[in-house]
Amino acid sequence: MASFDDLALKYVLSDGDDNDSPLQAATAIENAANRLAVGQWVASINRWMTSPDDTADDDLISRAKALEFLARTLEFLKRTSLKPDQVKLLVGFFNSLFSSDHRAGISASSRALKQLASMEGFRPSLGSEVMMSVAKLGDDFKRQAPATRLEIYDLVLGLLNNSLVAEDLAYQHGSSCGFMTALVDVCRSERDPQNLMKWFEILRLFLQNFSPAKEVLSEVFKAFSDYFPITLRASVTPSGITVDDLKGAVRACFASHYRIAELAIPFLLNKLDQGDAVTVTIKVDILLTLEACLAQYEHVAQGVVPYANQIWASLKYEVRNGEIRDTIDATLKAIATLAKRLPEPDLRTFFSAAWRDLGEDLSNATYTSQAGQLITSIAAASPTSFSLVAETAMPHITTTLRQTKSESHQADILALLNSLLQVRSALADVAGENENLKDDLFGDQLFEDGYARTWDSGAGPHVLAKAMDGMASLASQRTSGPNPQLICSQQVCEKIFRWLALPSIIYPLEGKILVQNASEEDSLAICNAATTALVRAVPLYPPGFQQLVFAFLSSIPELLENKQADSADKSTLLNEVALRLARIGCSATVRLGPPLLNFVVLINGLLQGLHSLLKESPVYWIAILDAIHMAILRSTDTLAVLLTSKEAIPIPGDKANNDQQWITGIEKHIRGLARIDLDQLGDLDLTLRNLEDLERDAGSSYKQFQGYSIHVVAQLYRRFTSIRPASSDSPLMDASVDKVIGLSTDFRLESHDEVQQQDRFLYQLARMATSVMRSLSESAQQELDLVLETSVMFHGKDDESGRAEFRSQVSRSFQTDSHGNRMMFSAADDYRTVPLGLGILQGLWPGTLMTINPLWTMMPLCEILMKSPTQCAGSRRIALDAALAILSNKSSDKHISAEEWSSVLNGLADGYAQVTRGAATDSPDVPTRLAIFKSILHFLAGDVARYRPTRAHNWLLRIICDTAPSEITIGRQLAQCFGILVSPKECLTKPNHAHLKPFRGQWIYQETVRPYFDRCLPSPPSGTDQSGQDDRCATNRSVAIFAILRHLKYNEYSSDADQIVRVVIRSLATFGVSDDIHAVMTVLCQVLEHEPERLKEHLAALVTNTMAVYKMARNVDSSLLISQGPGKTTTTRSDAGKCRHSALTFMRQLPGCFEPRYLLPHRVSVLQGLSLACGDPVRGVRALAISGRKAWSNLS
Amino acid sequence: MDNKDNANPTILTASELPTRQIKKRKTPASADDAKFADAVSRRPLFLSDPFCDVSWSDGTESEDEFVEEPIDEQEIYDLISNITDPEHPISLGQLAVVNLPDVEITPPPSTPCDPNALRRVLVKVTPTITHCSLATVLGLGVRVRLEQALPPNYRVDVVIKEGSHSQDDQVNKQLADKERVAAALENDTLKGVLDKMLETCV
Repeated sequence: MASFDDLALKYVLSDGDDNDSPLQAATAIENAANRLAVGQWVASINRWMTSPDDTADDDLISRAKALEFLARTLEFLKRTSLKPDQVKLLVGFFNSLFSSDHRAGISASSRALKQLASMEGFRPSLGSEVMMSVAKLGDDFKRQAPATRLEIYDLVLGLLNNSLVAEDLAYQHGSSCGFMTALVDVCRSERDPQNLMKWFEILRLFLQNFSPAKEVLSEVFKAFSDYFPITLRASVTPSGITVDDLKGAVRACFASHYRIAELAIPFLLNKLDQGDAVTVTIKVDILLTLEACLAQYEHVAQGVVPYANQIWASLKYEVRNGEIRDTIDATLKAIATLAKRLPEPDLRTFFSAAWRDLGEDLSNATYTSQAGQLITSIAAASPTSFSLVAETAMPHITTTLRQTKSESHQADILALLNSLLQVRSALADVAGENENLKDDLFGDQLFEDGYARTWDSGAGPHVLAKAMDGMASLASQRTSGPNPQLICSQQVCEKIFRWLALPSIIYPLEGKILVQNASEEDSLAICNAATTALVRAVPLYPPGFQQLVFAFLSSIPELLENKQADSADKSTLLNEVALRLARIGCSATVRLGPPLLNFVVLINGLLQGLHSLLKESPVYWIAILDAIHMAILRSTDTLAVLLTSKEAIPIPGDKANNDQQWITGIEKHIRGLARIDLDQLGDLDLTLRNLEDLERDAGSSYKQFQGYSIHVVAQLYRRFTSIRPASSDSPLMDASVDKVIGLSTDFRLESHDEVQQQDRFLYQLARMATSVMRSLSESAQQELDLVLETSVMFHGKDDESGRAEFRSQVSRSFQTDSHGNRMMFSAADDYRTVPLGLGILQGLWPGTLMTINPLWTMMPLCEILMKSPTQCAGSRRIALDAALAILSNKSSDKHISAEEWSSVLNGLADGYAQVTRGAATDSPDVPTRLAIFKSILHFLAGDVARYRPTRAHNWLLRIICDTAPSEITIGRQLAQCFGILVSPKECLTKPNHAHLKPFRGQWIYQETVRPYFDRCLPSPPSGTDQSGQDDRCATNRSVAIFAILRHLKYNEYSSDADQIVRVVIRSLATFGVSDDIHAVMTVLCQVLEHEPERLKEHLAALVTNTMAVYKMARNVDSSLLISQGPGKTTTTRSDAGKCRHSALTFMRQLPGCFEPRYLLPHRVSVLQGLSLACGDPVRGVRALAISGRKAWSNLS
Repeated sequence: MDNKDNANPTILTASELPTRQIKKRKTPASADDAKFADAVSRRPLFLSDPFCDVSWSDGTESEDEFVEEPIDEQEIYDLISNITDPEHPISLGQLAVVNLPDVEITPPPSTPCDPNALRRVLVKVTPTITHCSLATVLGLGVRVRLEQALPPNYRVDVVIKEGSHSQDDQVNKQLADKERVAAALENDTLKGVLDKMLETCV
């Protein structure tokens, strides 16, 4: 083994950190048989220590390195390796370096001493020696490198943190604390942020653990207060310490011990009183430091009480005359802390002194708001301070409110009153049973003296808003002490809710306004204030909400009677008010009572409202239905929040969830619910009694509400559909069932508009069903047999009207025939009930769909959709398309065999054959062909979202991609439809449990776009391609490609961006003015956004072509419509506007993406075009042109 | 510009300035409402497909996004009202230097005519005080902004409102003199001031 000399030499000669030599040395010392080893180890550096006075730099470096060798060795030594006498000797040696070798020895010595101090053999008495030797550094301390100083701070901090050493220091030095005064002298002018953090930590530790004499205290106080307020200059080499860290460290020193209170508090107040010389940041720092002192001084009588009046005298002006919010907030925080810390008698003295100022200010309109803030902050400190404040201030507040004539003064006083009420509510929640919160001051009397008087005085909107806010708080005040009760009487509470309902619920429906001659904004502000107040009050006083719902229902007839407004306006109003009611009732659960109370009351009320409107236009039904949907969503959200905070949310896919009793039969548990399908409006009292008996934990409430939501959806489905015998215009759904589902008699066939509104109602109902069904677990969906419900629409389920027969007939037919369980879409009423079936289907889990026979569900569906001439058109057809997409997406491979799948594809392929039959005489008309094609694409869209890579599986997709765009007559229209494959579809989203593979975008791109790039440009016939590509086919192919690309993410096609850009350039010139151009521009803007480099070479062509597109679209506008061949595609003004918009969007973005030198050649022509574009007929396009013009003209 | 001509001008708040009346549509009362409103009353996505021609008449669809609207007085006002005053960091609209009634388009935008026909825009500028030395700069700023934002068939005239300036004739003469305007724009200092004024224009 190498000798210590060799190891030392090796270490000294090494360049970087050599861990090896110290480690070997440490092992050698530990393994050595005798004590001599330590001596030899120390002696190994003798050769570098011989001439400490030598000033040659080389010697210095090697000497420092040699000493470092010793220090590093100590780091590797075990704590028990050295004997006390050895430690003492070593400490002596390293201590001596502090006086003898200021240039090379300090860093290593500090490091070594830190290690030695942690050794078991370190005697506490040595601590003082180390401290004193550090002090010997004198002025040379500041000449040390910051890193060396850091080592010294670490050493001192280590010693102070060692309780034995600290005790010994206190014992040896007494109250004079000589070691500290010496240290303060040495470290006085520290500037390095990292070192300062340590230094402040040392000072804090010292102040907390030692009891120094006054002189020492002021010396130490000066050592850190000199830095206050601390700032940090920006540095090129940031230390990682922020100015907030430094502020925190200094603050900790100030707040370290009450002993320095007599220095710290006057010091801080003095700084604060310097007036304008203090910036906002500094002021906030001072205030926060003062707050920390007040909060942390342990001995309140010595550290806080003596300064209370002084603090008040200084701080009150910060709020009274303050303008900056941050300063005011910090001051209020400090005052609140002060009030919190003061014990009872001192608090009383403090507040009576403060009240002399505050009482006066309250009567003065200029200072009321500020005085209010101060009063609130003191009141909020503790229940004791609240009762003290309330006792003194409340009589004064009500008197001032009565006497003042100024509206702003009234508003300020009311704001104070409201704050006190809120503070009281908050304190009541945390106060113990023995606390007195002055109940008598916050009851009916306050209502009469304060709020009722203001309400009757005809005050302006601003004051009214404040009064409403306060009344809501007042109605929910409860008594302090055990068994809290409402303080206000029932009459007063009812009055408050009646008043709040006027501007928010009743008057809007009745067409009145609360404040005559108020502007529209003012009325809206009053209404919003009332709503906000109600949102807060309703959970605390549920009877008030029942009152609101009742008021809503009884105002509906008034709304209908209004002859001045048309039904569209009236329905909008009804919807607004109903949604407001949903917001008020469903934002929170009832505080003391059944959590579902308000939700059920509201939805029950809305169902009653809907029932009363059934003879009216469907626009009113929609208004109410929207509100029911909103109420369900909001309530579910509110309950889910409770769930997440209290217990794990039930995973919707959890199959082990057996607790289905709520979901399948809520009516057994809650009786008296409204059933509008049976024309029963329910018995609210019975319902309320039943709700009282339900379990109230978050999990149960959530499930109860799910059950209730299903109950609501089911009754609406039943109400608006009916079972009737099959007839010629409503064919049988199935041979074994003699009845069909159609619309109920509520739907009267009147005007076209009316029918449209009815359809809209059906969609909204379906959408609500989706929201409810998708939130259920898979097992719950199966338990409820939702697959069957898509065919029977909940008929025969918990109703007694004899409709059960139909249900059992359908169910039986599924069980008996060979096709098994399936879905049937009724053709009655022109398929108008299809959206309702889709509503349920959309929310189902793939697992739930396992119970059906996919083949026998899809085949009849395909049959309907592939039939020509089509029987089902418009929106119902699209609903069927969506159903097909869902089925193709959610049917799993385990469930449908390859043969069955092929037979579905064959059916679709036959449909496709009709589409491509071209000009044959018996071919269907163009709209039918397009409709069939879209249905096929919907099926494929569902399939490709969870693509399977086998070739056998995707043959239909391939045939369509290969042939559709080259179809002779309608190739272009077919190509435009390709977007359906990837366009966003509600039925194919994660919340609706669709099966979406993560790389579907890439897969679709590889299959449907990439292989066709070469067909996007025209080419003459060649060896491989006999026919070549004519212009028309190439254009159609490009249309198809962009229809798909516009919906893909850039990274999915970025690898072929160059090729795409080439096709873009051709397409800009060939597409004409159409929506297709918009797709091209979308893709182009994507390339520009992600990889502008790719466009650099093509800038000339792109700029010219885009400006040409703009010009063409502008001309179209003048000459209006241009027909583009057969079918629907005529370019409208809106399409032209869209083209111009997207063209200019691209031009606008160019200057930001390229260096001017690439664009300058085009500047003049572009500016010319853009200046013409400034006169575009569409305002949005003009704005783009103006900003584009600015960007291009700034190029230079 | 430490010696301001009018150190303490009257300032209008943003809500007092004339704005285009936004068509009444359902606006949710709070952000919280918006979260749910979208789920409730949005048109079902399967009916929003580009190839779906089913109408959805609830008035919430923004079919009118590309509706044609001629350049009107309000639009001219919007273009110039956010120019910053050369003395104060406040817009000309807020200082009431430019006012909606003082913008005039001939022939009026409501009369249908050839889109390329010549139109004249007349803006009357009201300096905050009658002896404002920067009236010419204000007028020049308005003129430059409009020339940069209007199509070539619009002629821009900027004048000082009658009686609002002690030397309005002289200022008007300067503003109407094309050569002097062109020369002014060659002046780097003046160009700097104008650029600063137009910085806030979007």
